Amino acid sequence: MISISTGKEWTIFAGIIAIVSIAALAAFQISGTMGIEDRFQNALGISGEGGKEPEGSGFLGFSIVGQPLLYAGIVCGLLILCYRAYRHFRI
Amino acid sequence: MAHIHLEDGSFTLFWVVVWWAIALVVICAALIWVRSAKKTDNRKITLAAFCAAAAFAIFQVSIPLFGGVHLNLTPLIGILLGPAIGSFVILIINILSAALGHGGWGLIGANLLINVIEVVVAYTVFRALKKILPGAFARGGIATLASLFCGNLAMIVIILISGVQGVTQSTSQMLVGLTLLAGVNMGVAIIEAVITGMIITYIIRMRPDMLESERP
Repeated sequence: MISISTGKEWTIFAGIIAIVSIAALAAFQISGTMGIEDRFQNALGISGEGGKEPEGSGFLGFSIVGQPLLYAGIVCGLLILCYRAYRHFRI
Repeated sequence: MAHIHLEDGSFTLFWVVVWWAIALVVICAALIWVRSAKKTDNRKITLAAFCAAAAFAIFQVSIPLFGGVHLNLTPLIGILLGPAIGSFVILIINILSAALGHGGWGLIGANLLINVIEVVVAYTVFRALKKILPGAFARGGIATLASLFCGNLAMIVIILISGVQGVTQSTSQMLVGLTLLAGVNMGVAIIEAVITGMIITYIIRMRPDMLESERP
């Protein structure tokens, strides 16, 4: 049976999202714009340069954490594993 | 998402060992649970491989929102795979992430516990709401928000219990800072809730047999 969300369900979900959005925007306004590592260090009062990306790195603001080559290698390995599992178990 | 983004040496050795020990107990319990099952579903094994690949790939990508955040798809893992197999997938993702320098090796234990809580809450809420909210999108989204909220709470509790070396702030100051951090994380959780809802709906439409809780 395909279960489609009804109007009542959408209303509940939208209400929760509205509440969470207000809380998140308030937290963002208070803490300001910063990367996740900087946000952690700021929250704990640690001074450091950890996690800062060099200017212009990434694509359209999206960037990879850590070594991109190692990341690509691991993702390729996992994709091969997926392919083998898919073929082996014939799901 | 909730993940302790601190370097090795942030927690004392005592707390690193404590969180690792608890995490190992959780993994052993999951192993016993999986082994006690009469027959492991092949579909779940394949789905676990796909979840590990997708979650690892997306976890390392910094998204230009709120200054730089990332998703981790742990609620989706919980809903699709359940707590036992989901815990193994989480362990693999955390180890591979530490290899990339995304979170310290010593913090894998603490991060694993946070992510396992997210997996368990997502799985439980998604199943528990089936009678009240039969639609998969809203149910998946609400389960994701509940799961990430609990994950953020767990993160705050773990950091406050462990303390962070080199921090001069008082516990109450740290609590305020971490609450703001969790608040911003919950903003990202909305995106994750929508993505999870969409993926769950798509899977139920295309392959309902893949989702244990939705099988007739």
